[in-house]
Amino acid sequence: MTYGKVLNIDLSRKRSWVEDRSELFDSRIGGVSVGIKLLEEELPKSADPLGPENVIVFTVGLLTGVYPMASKTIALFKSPLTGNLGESHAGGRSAVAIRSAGYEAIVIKGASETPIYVAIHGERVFFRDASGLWSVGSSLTVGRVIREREPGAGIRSIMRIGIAGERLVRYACVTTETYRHFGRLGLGAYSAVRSLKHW
Amino acid sequence: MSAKRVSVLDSDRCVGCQLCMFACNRRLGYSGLGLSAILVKSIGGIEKGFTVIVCRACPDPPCQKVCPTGALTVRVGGGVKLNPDKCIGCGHCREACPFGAIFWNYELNKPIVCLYCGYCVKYCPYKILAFEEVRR
Repeated sequence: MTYGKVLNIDLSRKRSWVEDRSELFDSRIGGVSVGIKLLEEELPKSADPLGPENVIVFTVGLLTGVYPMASKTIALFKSPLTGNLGESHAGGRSAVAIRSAGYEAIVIKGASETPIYVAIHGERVFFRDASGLWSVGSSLTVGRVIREREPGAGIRSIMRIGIAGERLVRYACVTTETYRHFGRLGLGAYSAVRSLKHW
Repeated sequence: MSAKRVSVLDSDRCVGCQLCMFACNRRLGYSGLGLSAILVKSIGGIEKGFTVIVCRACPDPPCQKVCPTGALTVRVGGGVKLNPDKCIGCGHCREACPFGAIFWNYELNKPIVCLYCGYCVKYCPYKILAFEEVRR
C-alpha cells in the first residue's frame, strides 16, 4: 500500500527514508492540500529561495493510478521568482510513476556539492553522479543519456532541468518526459542550486 | 480455427495516454500499471513518437519454444497460453520474444502474457488499436 507513504530525500547527506504520514492523508485529500502541510513543516520561515534550506515537495492526487489518466504532479516550493509560495503542476506520466513507485509524496531537501541526479526505483533511491551531464548544450542529449542508463521505459518519468536552470534564470522550468513542464515560478532555477540535474 | 489478437494500426497517432495499459490492469481487478500486458513507451520523448508493444500472437511463437516446463502452449490459431502452475519463472520466454511483448510479474516471478481479450482496444481514444484476426 502506498497510503500515506512520504519519501524524504536529503541531498546534502545523500540519504533517503520513508515516513508513514497516513494521519495527514486521513484529513486531507492529497495533492496540494497535503503538499502545503508538508511544506509548512519542512520550510524555515526566512529561507532563501535559492539556498539549501528551501525544499521541494512533490505530491500526487487521491485517484492517481486508479482513475486514468488526467493526472498531475504538484510541486510546492519557495519561488525564486517571487520569493513567495511556488506552486507548479505538470501532467504526463510523472504522477502515476510516483504512485507506482509506492509514494504519495516526495520531499527533497538539502543541496549536493556536486551535480547529481536522483534515480528512484521503488524502494531504492540512487544518487548518481551528473557532473558529466552538467552544461551539456542539448537537453535532448541529456534525456537520451538518462533514458539509456536507467530502466523502466514506458512507466517511469524523467524530470530534468536545462541550461536555463543551470544559469539560475528565475523562471526556468523543470521538464518531464521531454514535453510536460513544471512551468511556473522557477522550480528549474531552484533545482539547479541544489545541483540537482535530474531526478 | 481463427483466433483474434490486438493489432497496432498506427502508432504515429499515439499520444502516450496509457489508457490501454490501465484497461489491461483493470480487467484483472487491479489499479495501476504493474500487471499490464501492453506497454506504450517513447523512443525519445513525444517528438520522436511512441511505440506500442503488445503480443502479436505469432502462429509459431518463439517464447513457447524455449519454455522448459511446457507452461506455455501454442494457442490454436496463434499466440500462447500460460499455465502458471507449471511455470518456474526462468524468464527464457521474455528473452526469446523479439518484440519484448512478454512482461513480468515481479510479485509472482512469472511472465505476463496477453490474454487476447481485446479489452484494451475499447479504451484507445485515437482508434490506434484493433482486435482482429491473426494474420498468417
